[in-house]
Amino acid sequence: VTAFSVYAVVAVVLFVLGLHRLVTDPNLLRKVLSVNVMGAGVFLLLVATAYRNRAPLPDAVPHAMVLTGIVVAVSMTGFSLVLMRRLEAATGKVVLDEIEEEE
Amino acid sequence: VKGPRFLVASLVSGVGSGFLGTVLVWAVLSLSTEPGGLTRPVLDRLDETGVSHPVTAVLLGFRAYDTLLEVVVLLAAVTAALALLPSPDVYSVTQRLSRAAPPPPEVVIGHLAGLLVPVMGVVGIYLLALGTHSPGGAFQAGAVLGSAAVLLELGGWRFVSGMSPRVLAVTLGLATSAFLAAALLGPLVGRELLVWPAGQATRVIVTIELALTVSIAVTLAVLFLLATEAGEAGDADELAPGAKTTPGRQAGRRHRGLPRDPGSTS
Repeated sequence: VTAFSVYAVVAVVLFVLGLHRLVTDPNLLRKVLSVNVMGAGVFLLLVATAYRNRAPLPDAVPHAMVLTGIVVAVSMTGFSLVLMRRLEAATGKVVLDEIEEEE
Repeated sequence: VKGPRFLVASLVSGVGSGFLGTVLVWAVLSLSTEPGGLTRPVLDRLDETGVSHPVTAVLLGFRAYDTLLEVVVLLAAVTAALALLPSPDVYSVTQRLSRAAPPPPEVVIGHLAGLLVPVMGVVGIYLLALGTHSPGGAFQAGAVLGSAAVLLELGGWRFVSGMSPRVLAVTLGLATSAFLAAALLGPLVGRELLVWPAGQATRVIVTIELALTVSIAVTLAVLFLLATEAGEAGDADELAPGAKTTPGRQAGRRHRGLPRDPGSTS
């Protein structure tokens, strides 16, 4: 078992846990957090992939992609939270089931 | 909430996620661990980029278009968030941000901000200065300075929300404008788009990084302010007549301590 395989399996587990919660949890805030957990898995995998062959220096391209990805993830999170707060201002609710029941 | 529908959904999602996870584990473990990848090509041509750190070379040299589009994503996110407020006009939104009464003095956060923000300022500038030759750069610096701005807002210093609408618009758009202007330098001297003029690469990259740092820090702080502001947005009454006394709005207003501006609700 190499260090890379440990990181890779943890990354996949994070991604899958986030995906499961994203699909099943009706709470919008937890959905936003789930996407961030999935993102953490992807970033972990990319960072570990860059160093999987134990070369003297890690591959800079996946590392640069992680940096870009983090900024995009933060933008997405910020925008989602504003959307969610707007929905909350309009309906007073942030849970999908309750919003549907009302209609 | 947890009816039979929820159980079926959990089961389907659980089995599906488990299957996907198995396939993904198999896929990542069968990746080649032979030396290779792009390490060699990047290091071979590092001299041409004007910086000595490989990650910065990739971000602002070899794959600058990635970074340009990433900056556009940031600008799009903050623009979309501003557009979601009841008055989509950017000036009225920023005026609303700057008109809102200061939150009640948070003594602990205020003292904490007084202690931490000077340190964060130094760390942010240091990270920016490191960027060309070691780990660091505009994104790390922008994240640290953006957090410092949020801390200042929470402590009652209106560093971002006190900006005039024009200054705010300029700082939000600075990175995209500077990057696009730099992208056009190449065609001006007869080379390709996003190719920095020979000999000037370091200067161009440092200028872009400075603009990126300012825009990223302010964008992050504005997204934070908008997320707290959107919950108590003025004319939500139009959308849901009964929403005036909903718990969300009450909680939102209590949290920020913002009094309603009677003039903005009409």
